[in-house]
Amino acid sequence: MAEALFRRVAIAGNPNTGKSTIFNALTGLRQKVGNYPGVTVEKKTGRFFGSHGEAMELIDLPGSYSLQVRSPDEAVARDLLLGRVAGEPRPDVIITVVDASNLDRHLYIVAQMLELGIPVVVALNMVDVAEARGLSIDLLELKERLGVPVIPMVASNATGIIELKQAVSRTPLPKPERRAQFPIVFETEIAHLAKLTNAPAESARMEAMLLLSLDEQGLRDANLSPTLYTAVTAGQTRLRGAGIDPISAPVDARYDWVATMCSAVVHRRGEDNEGLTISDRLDMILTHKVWGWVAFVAMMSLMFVCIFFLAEPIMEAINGGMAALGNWIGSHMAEGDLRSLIVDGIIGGVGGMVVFLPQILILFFFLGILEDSGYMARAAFIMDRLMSRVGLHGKSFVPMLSSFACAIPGVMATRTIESRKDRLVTILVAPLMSCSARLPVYIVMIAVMLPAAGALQRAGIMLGMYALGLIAAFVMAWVFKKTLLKSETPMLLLELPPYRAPIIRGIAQRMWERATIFLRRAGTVILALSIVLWALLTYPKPENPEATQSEALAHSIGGRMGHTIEPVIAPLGFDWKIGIGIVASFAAREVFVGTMGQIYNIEDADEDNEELREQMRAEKRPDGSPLFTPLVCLSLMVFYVLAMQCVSTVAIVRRETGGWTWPLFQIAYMTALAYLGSLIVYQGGKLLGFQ
Amino acid sequence: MLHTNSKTTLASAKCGDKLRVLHICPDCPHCLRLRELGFHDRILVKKVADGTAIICVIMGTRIALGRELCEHIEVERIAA
Repeated sequence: MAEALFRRVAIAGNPNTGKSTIFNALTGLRQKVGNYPGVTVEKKTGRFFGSHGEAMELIDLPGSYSLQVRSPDEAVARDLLLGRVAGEPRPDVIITVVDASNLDRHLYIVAQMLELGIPVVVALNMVDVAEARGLSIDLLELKERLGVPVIPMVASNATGIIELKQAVSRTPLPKPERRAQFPIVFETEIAHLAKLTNAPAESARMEAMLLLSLDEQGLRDANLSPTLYTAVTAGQTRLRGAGIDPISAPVDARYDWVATMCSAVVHRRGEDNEGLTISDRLDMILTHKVWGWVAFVAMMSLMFVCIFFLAEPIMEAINGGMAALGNWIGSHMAEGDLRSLIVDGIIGGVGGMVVFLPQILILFFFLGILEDSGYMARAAFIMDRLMSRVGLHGKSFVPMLSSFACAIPGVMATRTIESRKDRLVTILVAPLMSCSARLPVYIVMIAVMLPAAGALQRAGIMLGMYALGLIAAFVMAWVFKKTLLKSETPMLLLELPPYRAPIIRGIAQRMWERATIFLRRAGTVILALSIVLWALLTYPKPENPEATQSEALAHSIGGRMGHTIEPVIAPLGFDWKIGIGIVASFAAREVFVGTMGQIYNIEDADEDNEELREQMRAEKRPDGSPLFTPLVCLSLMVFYVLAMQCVSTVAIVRRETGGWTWPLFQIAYMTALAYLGSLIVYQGGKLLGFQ
Repeated sequence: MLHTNSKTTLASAKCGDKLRVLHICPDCPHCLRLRELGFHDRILVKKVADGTAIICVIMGTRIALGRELCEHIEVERIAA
């Protein structure tokens, strides 16, 4: 039986304040990821227990600078705190996480939280950093002035977690009574407008305040009733008449309140240190016009080389395990369709995918390091120069970089992009980045293409494929920004957090999450596809029991499908067997390797399987010439770089764009692009005399 | 000692200069976010990198801003 919840606690704050670290420290592995009803934004919740064992739900809100929102993820935080989300009551408590080393900026969000009328607990994180910077914070005075509990913390080593639990469990938790004071005329307008909103009494004041602070475009977008619209604009006019700007006045009032508070509670020991910090020194290189690029390319190269070198022994171990399992099952079962299904279909298909888990984990490890260390924002800054040429800004690069691991988190990461059109453009091009599912295809094709190549040479070709995806994404973004989704190039506004040592535990937790999702997918989607594929490649069986394997394959439904599409794909250098692989991998591109394994009747086919590579190298066309020439391998890789072959991504794009129009358009344009790219490579290569 | 009061925009200010914000336009949505990030009148800013985008330090935080956005921020130079 589920335990009754004592409280619903929301955790809020600016980005880069250690919110997720506190969330992880409080909930451990008792987390789940879902969606808010009616909206498409991810909802991360967890469970923790108070100081007397009371069960509480913790909601991790997206990082937000303000309740005056600018992006879809900020809107989720605001809507949940204001009780606007159907089926999601307002939280009972808000833990507001602030960076102790930068109180004069981070208390701004606290000022807004205090205006919500919900009990607030301030988690004063990174007190160690503040201390190291010579800042001393008078905690008693801060608590007194804020009128809410303040817990000093160092979340990275779990200092203060117990005290935070105690503070959240306290009964009763009084509602905050102190807040920034706005001009009296402003308060009068808020009170007047609050009566006209349909919001519940407890959130009506904030709703009115947010309405008064909207600009013209914001008011139009808010879909207000004519009465409310008139009341808001009339209120704004009266305020302007009184010499008060309704948009900037609340911000200025809060910052005045914050400044008064900081002057009373923050004391600097010794002289203000004007010297360069470690972050300053690192930024002199990492955001430099030339060295920044050198560092960026070096880091990306290191990542791809590690994916090859570090993953290899683990992959070999998994490989061996899968082969042993296949052999064991094969030796304990009588020959027949069931054995073929289990050994060739299930172990071959699912095993072929599971084996590249180590590479995916290494990729996520690197991306975690880049994100936690603060480098990801620098990468966005470096890329802004390039991105602005195609009409996007550097922020769009972060989802694209995440898409190197998987397009799903990449598409979801576009929620931080304010402009709807730019967000759509980023969603449309993000799957062009080479995700981890393309890895096995590249690995096997590179091995077939250049059997004697060393690891560096292989990594170089791999890097080339990743670069091709990146270039294609830029070109397509430029095309979309000039045609379908025409809009001005957005202005860059991006916080560059200080460099910090990554918290390995947090990264490990995210890797665990990704591994779970990956294995679940292997056990469901890929398993189902493997079984379907096996059936397609097995039935109907040829009437002649003496038929060769190739004849049996050609007779199967899959074989006939391959033959049907062969005239279409022949100009790309592909035969009907490759056609089966392409058709089979339209739902999940990683299925290609397993399909090749089933076609060539290799048990436990994966990209490291030498037998599969040998079979592919030995494969001949009807005229006796080799099928998998270097040019065909390259053409096939280009096809896989550019094609949209992932049902999960299609599903997430449908959810994020709210319909089928954009995902269908995305499938169409990427398929056309893949065909064109492959055609140019193969036919162009032939014209140049390559094979 | 404070130096001259040369008015300019953050985009045109020299890299390495310490500046004081004089004015930000009150009603454009980008500038509202700038205000919320601490770019209010009288605040001190240091410009640390210049290019297609600009990096400045405000209240101990580094913020990257597009050059066009920096044109909205009027500043005066207080020291190099």
